[in-house]
Amino acid sequence: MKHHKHYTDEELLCFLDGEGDAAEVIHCWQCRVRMAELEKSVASFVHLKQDVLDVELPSGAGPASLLRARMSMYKPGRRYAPVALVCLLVGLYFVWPERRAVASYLPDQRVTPGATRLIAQDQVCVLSASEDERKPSQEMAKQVFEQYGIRNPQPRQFEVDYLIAPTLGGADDVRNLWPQPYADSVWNSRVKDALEDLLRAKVCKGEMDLAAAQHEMAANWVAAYQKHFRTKVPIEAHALFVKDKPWE
Amino acid sequence: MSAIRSQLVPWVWPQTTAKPSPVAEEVSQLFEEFRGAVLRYILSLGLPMQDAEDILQEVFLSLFHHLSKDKPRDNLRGWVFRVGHNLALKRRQSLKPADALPESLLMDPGMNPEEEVAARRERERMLKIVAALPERDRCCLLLRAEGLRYREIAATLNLSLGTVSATLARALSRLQVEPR
Ligand SMILES: [Zn+2]
Repeated sequence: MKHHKHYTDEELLCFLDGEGDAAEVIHCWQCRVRMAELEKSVASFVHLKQDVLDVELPSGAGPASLLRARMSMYKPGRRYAPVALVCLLVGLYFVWPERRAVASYLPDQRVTPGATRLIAQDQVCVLSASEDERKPSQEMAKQVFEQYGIRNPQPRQFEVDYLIAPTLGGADDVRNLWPQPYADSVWNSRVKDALEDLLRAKVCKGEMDLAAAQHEMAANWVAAYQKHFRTKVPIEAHALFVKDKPWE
Repeated sequence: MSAIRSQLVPWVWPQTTAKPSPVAEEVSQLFEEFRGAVLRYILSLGLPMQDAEDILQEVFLSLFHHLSKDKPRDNLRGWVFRVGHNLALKRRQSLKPADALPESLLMDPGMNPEEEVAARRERERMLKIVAALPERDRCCLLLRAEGLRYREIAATLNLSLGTVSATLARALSRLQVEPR
């Protein structure tokens, strides 16, 4: 048998990916081992992408209908299409669910941007446990429900939750409150609590700025959770949501 | 006769009863099919969600115009990714010129207590390598992981096929598990 010139990584990868016209059997063990190593790198990259890099995407229903509407305005030769499109877009601005305050595991930024009270970094670390149990007043809760267009909130459906937790210097302010649905997401308040504890610990250890922690909570607490716990989905221990202890 | 008719129809057709054109139908289907992959890719270029969604709208409206003019329809996925890639880079330039990396690549050391130390370390090692790759190499990997074939990646990033395969091979060998 003639001396075999080993394949390059590039050639081996092309075999693996079914690119090019090479479909020959590779007899050389050394080349096959190299192939397996490349395949292993592929696997670790795919896992990394799934576990860390990919974020949870919002539903595509709103964007899809916006696109459909915009396409329907463009008929060849229809001269008034631009005017009609503007009207449509203005209309959609008010109708498109993404644009309206919707109670979800993430608050609507326009209604609930988050609000803080003046507090020093080291004060956060000596806050008593009572900060933890702070509840918004009935009056404020009513206002919050109104803003989110919820007429008759059923008692077990929502929790009016602080966006920036009091333990992180969040204010008793309607702008810092939103109705968090109990049922419809794995991103529940228990999971959020775990993040708050972690961020508070980081702030107190001097690993993180208080303002940065507040900002991350307000901007997108789910993304912050995914980033700090390095996971796409809530850790099981955090996600086990016991609303009321069953024996009570 | 039919030419005149097709000129007239759009003027006469009442808007309210207009059914979506076949092209619009097709684009809607493609939107459904590709949205997740394109969105993830644009986000990986470091754009915020709202901007990424905006860009997606632009991409598919352009696709609609492209197809309405009976332009070639081979390699549509490559076309969609290419337009998305270009628009995203343009938008990113106007947003934050310096910072090209998505947040997920700039994370603090892992804190997931349930994870095994070895697995966490391996993941951190990988993240570091991915973050240190030239952007073009990282884009190649991400596009390939979204299922694109080499010619589609080549179309997206405006590279030759040879460059795509060489880049992928190089990037993968960098990611390789360290020999013990
Ligand atoms: Zn060989």
